[in-house]
Amino acid sequence: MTMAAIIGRISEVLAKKKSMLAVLALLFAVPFFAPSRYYVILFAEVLIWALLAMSYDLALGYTGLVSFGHAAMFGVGAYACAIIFRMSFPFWLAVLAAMAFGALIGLVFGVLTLRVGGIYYSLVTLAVAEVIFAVFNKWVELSGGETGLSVPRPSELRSDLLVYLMFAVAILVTAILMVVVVRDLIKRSSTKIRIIHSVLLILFIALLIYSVPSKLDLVSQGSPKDIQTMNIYYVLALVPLVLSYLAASRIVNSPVGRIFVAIRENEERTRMLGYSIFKYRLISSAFSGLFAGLAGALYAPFILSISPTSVLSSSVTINVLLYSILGGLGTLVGPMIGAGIITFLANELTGYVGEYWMFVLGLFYLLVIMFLPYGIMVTWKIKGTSVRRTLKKLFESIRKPTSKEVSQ
Amino acid sequence: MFEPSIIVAAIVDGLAFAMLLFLIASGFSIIFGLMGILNFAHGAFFMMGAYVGVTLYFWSGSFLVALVGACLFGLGLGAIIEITTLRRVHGNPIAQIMLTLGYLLIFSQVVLIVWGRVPAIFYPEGLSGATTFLGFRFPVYRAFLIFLGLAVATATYVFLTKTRTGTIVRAGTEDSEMVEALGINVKRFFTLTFGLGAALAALGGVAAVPWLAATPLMGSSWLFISLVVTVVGGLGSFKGSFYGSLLIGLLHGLSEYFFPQLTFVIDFLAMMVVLLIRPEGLFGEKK
Repeated sequence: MTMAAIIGRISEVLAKKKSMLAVLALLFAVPFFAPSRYYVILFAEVLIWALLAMSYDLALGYTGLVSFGHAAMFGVGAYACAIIFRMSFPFWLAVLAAMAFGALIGLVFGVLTLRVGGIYYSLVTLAVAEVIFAVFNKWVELSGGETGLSVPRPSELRSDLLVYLMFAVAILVTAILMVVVVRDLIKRSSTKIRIIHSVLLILFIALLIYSVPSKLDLVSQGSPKDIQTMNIYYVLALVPLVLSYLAASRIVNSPVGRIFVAIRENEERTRMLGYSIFKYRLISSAFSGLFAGLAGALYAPFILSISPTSVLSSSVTINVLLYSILGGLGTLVGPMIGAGIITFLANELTGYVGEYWMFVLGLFYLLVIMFLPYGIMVTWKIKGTSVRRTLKKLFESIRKPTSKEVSQ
Repeated sequence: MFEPSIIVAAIVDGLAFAMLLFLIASGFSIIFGLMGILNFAHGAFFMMGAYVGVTLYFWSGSFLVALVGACLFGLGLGAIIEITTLRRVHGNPIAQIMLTLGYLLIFSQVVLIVWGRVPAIFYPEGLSGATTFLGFRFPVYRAFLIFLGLAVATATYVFLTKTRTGTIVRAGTEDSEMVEALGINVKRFFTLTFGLGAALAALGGVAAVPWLAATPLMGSSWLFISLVVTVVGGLGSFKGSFYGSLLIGLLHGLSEYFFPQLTFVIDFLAMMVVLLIRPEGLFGEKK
């Protein structure tokens, strides 16, 4: 393949997945543009909750498994990562083990569907999660009991390697974008594509200009490692999130994913078509557990100290349920957006209304349920086209007089 | 360790606890049976009842006023919530769960804002202290709780079986669409049931105060344990919620004396075992 063909292909892909790429670029740029370290940390936390919300959506939104025990998958993942990492195994091994343990809990939950369905499944999963919570709360030798475990920062992540890797990627992307923009000019692509590509290019150039000198400073001053570590945590949360999202969207758009949806919509009919309901629920639940375990594994070193209350309690499940419902079930992206909105709101509200932010949050939930019962993304899918049409009309009505003025 | 006096004390505690459980779980169960709502706000009704009762007691000095006032408060609160919000998400179970969860959050905060973090408690006159019965000493208040619970259970049972309203509620639990087809405005009974369920929970809340005190966290902990009771007894079954309360209450009482570390584990294990062996609960009907 020639260079031109490669660039052509890249620009095709860029043109097709504009919005996703733009979001991705923005997400990668966050640590460089964030006004303070606080926001980098907050964003990293948002990403972890987003991953957890996505994993929940796989079971709840696609297969219709209303589990009230999702915290078990997350918490066991977090504890598995922490315990194995504390035994001085490499960090990546701990993460893999956490994913395995999460998937194991997912399998257990999946097996439960054989015995109980509907609301009873929700309650059994709740009971399992509470029992696991109690075990971790009392078994001091394993989990450190109520005080929990402190998790050391993985030394692999202290190196500057990841920061430089990020720069390399940013430089590469900038170079490619430059070529693409030039190609747009030569090939006379549509204005819209040109604008998007140019904006992306400007964004990345700005990113480089903004970030390189400060990073060089840091390195030359013997660098306060903390700042870089925080940035690395951000990347550490972002990369698995993106990969998991790609994997999950691959799953839900595959034939297997179609069967998940079929089970959610009509269990009997799917069984009549010859599919094993149990098998597909097991698969869905296991994948859900896998991603939840990963989220837990990322959360443990991020928060530095985990306790049963912080990772295994039912409030984790409740939060994830709220993220999913606010964002919209069965969309993968929706629950992530929900996680972002609620985590941000919770943080900002603490600043304004102090300890009573939960009250405002509760009111917010009520409003969402009353006026957006299907969540942001699903409502957007239903109403989106009409909204877009209205916006288009609005823009046109604004533009028309100006064009007349020009012609006059 | 296993002396008769301790065992009797554990059983009395267990029975008193069971009656509180019954007050919260019966409403929870009937609401689920009739309306299909897993009402996560039920623990909040219990807690609000407790705190309103505390305020009423200190204002009036009479325990009876506190009991009746909290009951009326629960009735009004439940009815208002049902009419203004829950009715609008009828038939969407996830929205119902989220809505009631939202109320749990809100009321937990209301309690913190209005009454603060410090647990509130009062001791009604004439019901404090201990008494001796058949050679065993136990607190008077717990005996009072047992009588109160039995009285309310009998009253509710009579209401459900002997009155027209109660019959309609029971019929609605079986098949609410059929009842509607018979020309009965089921929605009105939804409001009534939700209000009455909330009133029972509020009564339980204020009755719990002199023994266990009112704390801002009681909303969620009582919600969980009433969930356990209802599931063990059978979701939607009034009889089930009574026997489920007795079973879990006694288990709770005994385990609190003999294995205090494992109280909640035992509760949830009981729920798990019942669900896996008999998912519809001990008294529930297979659907």
